Amino acid sequence: MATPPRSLRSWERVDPEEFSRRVAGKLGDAAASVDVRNGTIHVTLPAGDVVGAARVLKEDPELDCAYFNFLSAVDWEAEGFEVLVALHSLTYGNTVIAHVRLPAESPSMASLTALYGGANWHERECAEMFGIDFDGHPNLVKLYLPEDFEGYPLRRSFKLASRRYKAWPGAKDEEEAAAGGPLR
Amino acid sequence: MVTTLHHILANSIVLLALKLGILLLLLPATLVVGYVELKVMAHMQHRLGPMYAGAYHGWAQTLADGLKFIQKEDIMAAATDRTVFSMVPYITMLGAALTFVVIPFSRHGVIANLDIGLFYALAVSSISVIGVLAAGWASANKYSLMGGLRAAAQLIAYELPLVLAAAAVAMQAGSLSLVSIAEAQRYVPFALWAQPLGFLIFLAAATAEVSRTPFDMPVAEAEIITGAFTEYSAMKFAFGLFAAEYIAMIGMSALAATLFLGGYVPLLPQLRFVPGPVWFLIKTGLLIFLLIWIRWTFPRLREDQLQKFAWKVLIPLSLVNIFVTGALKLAHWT
Amino acid sequence: MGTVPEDLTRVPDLSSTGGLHTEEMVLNVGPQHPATHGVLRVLVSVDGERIVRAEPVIGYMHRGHEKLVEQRDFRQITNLLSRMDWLSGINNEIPASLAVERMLELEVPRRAQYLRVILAELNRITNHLMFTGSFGLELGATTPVMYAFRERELIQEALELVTGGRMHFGFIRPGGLKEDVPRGFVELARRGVRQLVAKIPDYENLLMGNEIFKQRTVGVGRLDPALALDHGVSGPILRACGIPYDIRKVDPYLVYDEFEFDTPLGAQGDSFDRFWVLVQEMKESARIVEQALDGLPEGSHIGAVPKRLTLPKGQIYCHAENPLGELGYYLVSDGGNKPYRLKIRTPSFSNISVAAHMLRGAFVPDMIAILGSMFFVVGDIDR
Repeated sequence: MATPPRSLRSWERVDPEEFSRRVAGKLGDAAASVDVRNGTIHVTLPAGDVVGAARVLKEDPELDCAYFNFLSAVDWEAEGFEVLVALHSLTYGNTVIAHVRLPAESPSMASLTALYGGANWHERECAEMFGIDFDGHPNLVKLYLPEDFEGYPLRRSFKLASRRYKAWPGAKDEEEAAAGGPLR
Repeated sequence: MVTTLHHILANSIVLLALKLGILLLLLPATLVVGYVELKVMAHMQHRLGPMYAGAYHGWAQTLADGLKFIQKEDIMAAATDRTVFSMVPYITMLGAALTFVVIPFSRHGVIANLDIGLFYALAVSSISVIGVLAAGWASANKYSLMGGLRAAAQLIAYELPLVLAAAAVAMQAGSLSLVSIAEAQRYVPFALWAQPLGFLIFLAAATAEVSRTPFDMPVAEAEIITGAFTEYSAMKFAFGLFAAEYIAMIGMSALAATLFLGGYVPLLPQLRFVPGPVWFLIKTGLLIFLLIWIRWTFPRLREDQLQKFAWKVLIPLSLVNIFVTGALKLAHWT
Repeated sequence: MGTVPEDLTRVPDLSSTGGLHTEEMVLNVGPQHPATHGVLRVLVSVDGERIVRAEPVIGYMHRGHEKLVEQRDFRQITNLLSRMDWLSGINNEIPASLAVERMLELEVPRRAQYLRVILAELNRITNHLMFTGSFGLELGATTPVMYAFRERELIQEALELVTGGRMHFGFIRPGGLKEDVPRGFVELARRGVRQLVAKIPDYENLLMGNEIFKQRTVGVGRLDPALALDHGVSGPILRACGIPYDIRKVDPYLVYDEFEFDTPLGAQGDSFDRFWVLVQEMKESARIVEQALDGLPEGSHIGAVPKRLTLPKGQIYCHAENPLGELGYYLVSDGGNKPYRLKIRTPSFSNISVAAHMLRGAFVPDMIAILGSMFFVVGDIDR
């Protein structure tokens, strides 16, 4: 067994406000902004050095975000993509969510797989669903979808083909029904 | 020469018919044992089990199952070696059924009282493994292959302790004839006196021989999906797997009952009025029940753990057993 | 579904076999295989019975929940989300409602909160009982599953009495519950958990006390804690490694901080520990249910909720302790009545992503013991 993680010993929930100040202090210029919403710490990272910032979050003993929670993205259409990386510090009981903005055209960021092995599947999913490229990923093939699948289903612009022919029968609002229902 | 009913029977065509009848009874017997297994299992598991077929407590359930198997389509994959594949049910059934040739149902109710009956029984009981191995290879299926190989590996593991435990019995009785072995246990079965250890070793090895939990790795459904019989369907499945398994189980129980419980010999001199076949059936039935009980209670071992168990525990123990049997025999203690 | 990873087709290293040529065989386990209970597929390279490499292949049940919820309003998504992990519908629904409530700052009546806890814990018990039984079944012990289902039935009945459903409940609403519980529920639930607690020693003796069971599970599929954290493993599997991560304790939601219960922890992180933790957690859930039934307050089952639910612009991450681990919803709202984006972080997805590491070097029968003790639901992996 490798060295037991620090989180193994015990945990105490540090106040999110205090923890966010700690995160801001440790990350310094690497973070564009740090704030707390609903008890979760949100960090905005520039796309340039995500891995470096994540390394600080993971390896600094006062942050200890060794728990890789999830990685996903939000499609803001013309405004590009927002990649979310959720980490958790078991020792200090806080969740840190990093936001990385990527351009709408050929979005790409560095892969976190070297730092967090668990990022592998999450990045594969994100790549096939949003068309985001993860630089340095060992095996960026499709995870869920068939190999010959075209398009990126979770992008807002992706419409379900079947809805083009038959409107979704569950439209709740009058405006929606009048418009023939949603296309997704 | 005193003419008794037995002697008349022994030399007549009637007995031949009886002997054939014993073999023909095997198939219905598998249905009965199958039904008993369903019911015992169900009651161990807080269920009722079959209740509808045949109206009274589902007595016809296994019969209905058998009829259903007859109606099913016999499917063979394209890559199957069809000749070998089709031969397998005969081999596994035959291997299991041939044991009954030497098992005495009563003092004279034995198809052939061979002088080397025990040797013969142990030899033919291993034939079915060839069938399983052939099935594993002929199916052209990886799971089947693994199942066949497991069966072969298992043969090596349990066959030695099985034979060694039986050898101690032969030494004890001074004969290889099953009738003589049964007679040697008149009123004191070997399981209670002289061979209790051998009895346990034999039971463990016999469970492995018939591939039942905890030693059912060759057919493990959750791992290799019934192993060698993954590709079998319809009657081939019913005969190759089910019938063969139950006949082997009955055969092994009958053999164990004869070797260690005295077979048809009454347990007490006062109970001599109960005929031999009844005693034989009671003892065999008890052992079958034991096997069923074990099966629905235990999880299964891993193949390497069985090998370890056989080579490090069963074989040394059975060697010790033989040594002790020989020593006691020499000292005329038993 | 993806492709076969490169390293599965690599020529094996023969040095370990002493020059003896053995051939590797790629065994395709699943998507239809009894041990993967569902449609998980595992590609394993075996050398004899030893697994050289293994790669779970997922996606056979991908239904695109994340896309579908973008077209349903906040009440409708509940019914959809309850279908992810079909063994614990209530637990799937709760964090979705929590997300909506926290964004709208809705007040949820205490009775509703208590009832949510009761339903969630009953649901946790039914889920755990399912895995208790099926794990025995995978190891070849056929009887425990029947015992587990006997106890499960009574609790299932209690859930059915309340919700009318046995799997997909659709009972949790933003602001509270669909209805109040009917008469007789409290007694039935109490009877269910009491019978369960009385029968748990049976499972412990039948399985954990069994020598063969120990041989098959102790030291098998040991999960390294650091690896577990790396992959975001959660729930009983993480706690079996000795890491006290239980969201009910770490980040209490509903009224979990008002109840007394322990977090059972394993030490080795092997199959045995995972199973042990699972069984102990049922006892803790039963404790919570008893306490909540005792203290069940009177009042309304649902708070004041606007007829048309429109969320303010914003983002929220809401997680809860699903029976299988951390279930998180990352909700992005653009100010409409539907989620702009809902990222669903399911426990089984993260848990099973670590399986490839655990299977390497194990025997084929161990694969069953490992997968069986990873407690996953395929719908929860694929979403």
